[in-house]
Amino acid sequence: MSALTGVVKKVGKVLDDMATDLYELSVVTTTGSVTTIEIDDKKDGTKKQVFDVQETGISAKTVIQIDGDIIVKIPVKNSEGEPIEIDERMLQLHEENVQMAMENWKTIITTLVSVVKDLQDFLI
Amino acid sequence: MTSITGETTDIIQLGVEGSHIFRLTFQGNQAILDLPDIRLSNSMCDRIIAKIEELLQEESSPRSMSLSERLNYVLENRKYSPVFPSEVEVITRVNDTVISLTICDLTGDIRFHSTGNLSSSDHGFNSKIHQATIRLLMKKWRDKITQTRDIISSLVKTINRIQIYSSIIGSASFLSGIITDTPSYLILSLIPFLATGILVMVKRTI
Repeated sequence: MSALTGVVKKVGKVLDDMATDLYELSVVTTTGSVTTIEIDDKKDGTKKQVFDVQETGISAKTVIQIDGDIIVKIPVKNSEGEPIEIDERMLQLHEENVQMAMENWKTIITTLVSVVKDLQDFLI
Repeated sequence: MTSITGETTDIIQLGVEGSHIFRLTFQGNQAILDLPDIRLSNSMCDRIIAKIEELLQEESSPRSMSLSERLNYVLENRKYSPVFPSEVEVITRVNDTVISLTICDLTGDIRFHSTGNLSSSDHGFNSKIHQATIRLLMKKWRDKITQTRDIISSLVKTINRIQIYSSIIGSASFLSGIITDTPSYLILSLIPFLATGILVMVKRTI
């Protein structure tokens, strides 16, 4: 019984986190380095790869909120106050990712609404 | 931020240029693109993207599937990604060095991380292949969500249909039991009525 309660609590937490996360969509484009490390898997004794991301800067950040607010952050000056040359290709990639994220967001929200509607039909 | 890969699921050769191999590896929720450190041509880049497209679109399921076919489809086509990944990752490596990494989560958030200068022509092509892989994986993931929604919808319709049919069968069996004065029909009519009653109780509880 306690196992079942645990599962229900876990599902509830996942749904709660998801609802909070669904409120806003965030797309971030960063620069930096990635190092690949091999670690031993304690479960089956095999080697597994770990990708360690070291971010050194954010090229662009877009936050879209469910109420329609859109926040776009693009750094134009570095920490010393000097102007930064904007990488056009990076911005283009960021824009592509925003489009993709919007499509995913739309699919998730449409699906949730549809499932709720189906369940409503089922219960009435 | 770290990400841990699972066991290798599938390795696909996307193309060969001389002694250089373009490879795509699917492991768990990750797709790893291994590209050689060579100057790519436009046509080569297009060919690789076309190959990825072909690879990921060949699995698109027809919309007119029955519930059992749909369930089978979802369970059998887990080859290139789990049924419900909480996030999808695409990693591009050139000569085993990671040059870009994208993490897309279930609610739509995307984090793209680049380690190189994308303005140079080679990286430009590499990032095109990287983006094409994400685009197609995301499309596939959206297809899965749509299919799951269709399964829920079919399931709800099926349960409602069972409820209606069992009420009709129960009533018919009850009436024939009274008309023909056969007690066994009356007893049999209890089964569908019982099933309908249980369904109604389950709905009320929910």
